[in-house]
Amino acid sequence: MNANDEPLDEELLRRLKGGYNPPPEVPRDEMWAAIRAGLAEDGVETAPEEQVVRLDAHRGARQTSAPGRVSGARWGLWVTAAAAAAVLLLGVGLGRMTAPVPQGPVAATGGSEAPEVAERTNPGPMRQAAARHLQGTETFLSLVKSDARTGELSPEVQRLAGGLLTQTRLFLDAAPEGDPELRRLMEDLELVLAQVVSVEAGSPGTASELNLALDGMDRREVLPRIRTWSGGLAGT
Amino acid sequence: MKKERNPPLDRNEDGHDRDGLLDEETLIRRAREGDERAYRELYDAHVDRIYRLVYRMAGEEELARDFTQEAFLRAFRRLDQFRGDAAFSTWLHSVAVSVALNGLRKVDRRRERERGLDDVAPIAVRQARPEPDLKDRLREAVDGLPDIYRTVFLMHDLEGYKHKEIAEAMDVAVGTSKARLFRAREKLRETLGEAMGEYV
Repeated sequence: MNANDEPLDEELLRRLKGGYNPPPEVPRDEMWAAIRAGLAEDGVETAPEEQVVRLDAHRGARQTSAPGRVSGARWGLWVTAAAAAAVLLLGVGLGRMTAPVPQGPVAATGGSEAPEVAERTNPGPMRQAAARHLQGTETFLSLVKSDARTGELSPEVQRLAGGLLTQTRLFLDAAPEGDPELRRLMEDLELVLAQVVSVEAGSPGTASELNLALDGMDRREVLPRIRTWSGGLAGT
Repeated sequence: MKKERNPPLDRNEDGHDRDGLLDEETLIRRAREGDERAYRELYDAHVDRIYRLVYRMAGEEELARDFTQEAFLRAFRRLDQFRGDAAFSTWLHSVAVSVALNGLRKVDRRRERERGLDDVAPIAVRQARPEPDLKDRLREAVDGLPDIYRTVFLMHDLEGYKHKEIAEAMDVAVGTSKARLFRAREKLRETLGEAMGEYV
């Protein structure tokens, strides 16, 4: 057997593995946004089938949603946003009507864990509406990231940000006190969306303003938290 | 390394298993019908491995991103041509390797043209280039491999692909993949020469 049949020296291989084009974190959301836009250009449409349950095997998050007709990435987002808004209004209304009255034993535990567990095992309309809203914003934020790379912000994305900001504030007004995790997430989301809305599109500073908003979003781990939260709810 | 999707077991009529996962055959059928969520599931299942490989080949984030996107788009647009004789992953890898190799050739040609302009610089300036350190020598040695050797070397030795996977991705025989790895290691040993002595 020739020496070249043998692997390279272990130490050399180790250095090469770590030093020769070591792959960074996969920018999966940005790439998906571009692929989705490409599919939309091809006229890929979402068939109106029965509910599709998706398990994101890499994040361990399961999402349940009913597919709607999609004729383009951004059009799809408008549909999602409009649906979320409708569900939100219904959720807020029902949530207020069915809001549980705090009971003695729950108060005696001295924490928010009990109502949290109860809500997670039996997600109310509010949490379901929140999950849909968060799924929509996840896709939206991916589009913003895509726009940030080009240094431009399209007017429709900014309009969408305004709509999502309004919905997020509605959630903040209506979110139950016993759900601090959701509240913090909505507050962080509100900040990101407000920053996107306030970007002066078409100005020389568009890219830096967008990147500032996205840096803040990354620092606060908004996207991973959205996935965890909405996935956890869908898994119940 | 990413674990492949499990084979279909205990699935209901819709193709869901007990965890709500769709098997790949069902996903591909749904994607062909235009179900965007099926596209997303296929993407999620394979993107990490594809991106890693393409990044190793390209060495630049922007190129790796472009090649990965192009590979998925091309595969999705040609789903009707996927017969299911091999795993979807295998087919996707062959598309990705082809996209990356062709893309890198274009980039190389463009850079060659740009470099041509620099060649008019005085010889003294070119000689002023400092002696590369060991890390640079390793990089230059791998970069200096012909594309087909370098790809096999990266896939096998750095990313842990089997010869069978490499052969299918590059549309060659397993023996050819082994021969290319042999030649790649041989060339690296030749090129690195003294530097190798520091490790071997």
